[in-house]
Amino acid sequence: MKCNQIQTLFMDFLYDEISNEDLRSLEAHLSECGACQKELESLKKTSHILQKWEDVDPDFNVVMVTEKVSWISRLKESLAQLFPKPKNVAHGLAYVAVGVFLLLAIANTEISYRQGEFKLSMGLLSKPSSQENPENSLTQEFLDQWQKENYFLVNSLIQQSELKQKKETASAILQLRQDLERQRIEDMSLVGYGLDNIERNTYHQIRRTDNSLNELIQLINAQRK
Amino acid sequence: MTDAQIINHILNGDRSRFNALVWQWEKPIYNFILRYVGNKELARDVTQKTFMRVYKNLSKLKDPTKFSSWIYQIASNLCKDEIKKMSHRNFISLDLIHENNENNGHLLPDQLKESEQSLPDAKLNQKQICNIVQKALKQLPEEQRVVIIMKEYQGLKFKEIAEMLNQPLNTIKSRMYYGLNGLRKIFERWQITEEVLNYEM
Repeated sequence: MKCNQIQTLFMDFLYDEISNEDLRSLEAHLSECGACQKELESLKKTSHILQKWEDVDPDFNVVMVTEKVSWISRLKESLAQLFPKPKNVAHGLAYVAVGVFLLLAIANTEISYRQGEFKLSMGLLSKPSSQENPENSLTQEFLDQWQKENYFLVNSLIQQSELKQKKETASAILQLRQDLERQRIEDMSLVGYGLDNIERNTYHQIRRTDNSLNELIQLINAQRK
Repeated sequence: MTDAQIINHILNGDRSRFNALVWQWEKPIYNFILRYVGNKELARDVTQKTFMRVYKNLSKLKDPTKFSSWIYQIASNLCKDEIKKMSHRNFISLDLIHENNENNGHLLPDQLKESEQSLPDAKLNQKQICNIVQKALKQLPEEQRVVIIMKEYQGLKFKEIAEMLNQPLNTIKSRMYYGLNGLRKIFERWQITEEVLNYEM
């Protein structure tokens, strides 16, 4: 075998991963080739030098936040309890969206697009520089306009949601009132029926007493005669 | 308990077992990363990130018996990313340093210069040896360095390294060969021999 073919076996040999067959060819070659023998020896020495760098103990503790998952699942559970119906979840999301809009509006958020780049800035955090070129002021104007529209949109959203809520409350109250009315009528008719019964019973009893008394009077009269 | 058993416990809901996995692996992984990135603080961050990623993705590990390959794969990917970030930040790539050294063989580590001046009386302590080897490793191209670290220090089989780095077996062996040869030349230039180190110890 040639030297460059044998050199591919050097690594297998150095790290004890060589097959018996390869080992035999390597040994055969080394016994004849001093250069390869020398090279293998120096590679072995290099490996030994590397081994002088010993492992160290880490001087810190790996920090794992094991609570993280359970915390999320707990949050999910409590959220599920808070919003058991999909309809309510949708309402909640709408409120959150309105909240975010409001927050962005309060923070004076500006999104601008120029030369293929979107820029996001917040009025609370960075003030626009006073030296602006006409293009900037145009953008500013557009942004002001946009912001006003944003305000208007948020306001109308809030108004709409309030209106909707009022409507829902009103219809619920109406429903309740109708239910109560129906219940009252039923109750009244029951009471009326009861009263009728009582009246009828009393009438019969009075008539029976009357009759008995009449019979008694007739009997007494007959006895007197 | 084997890694696979611990992982099965974790996947069955006993998350506290993850600590056992950390205790078992933090030392080898930290040393692997330290040799790869060559910086203690960075190694600490990357080790932390490695375990976070392992924790997050453990359920995606299809075969728990291959955990060892998997964690080294995660660690080496993170190291690669960090080195890339670092070279962007400093505008100096490791290859560039390597080239510099090829042109100018006198760029010796300071530690070595000091010890060389007073040879043969000076004693190289573990810290100095580690500095020399670390600086020598840094001269190698990254693809050779990672193979050398995995083979020489982590004791992985060539086949395992090939799987981890997703490269043919022969490519891994030749990177090992060229890497070791490169180190041999560097040590020769710096006049570091096994005998010197043994003598000093």
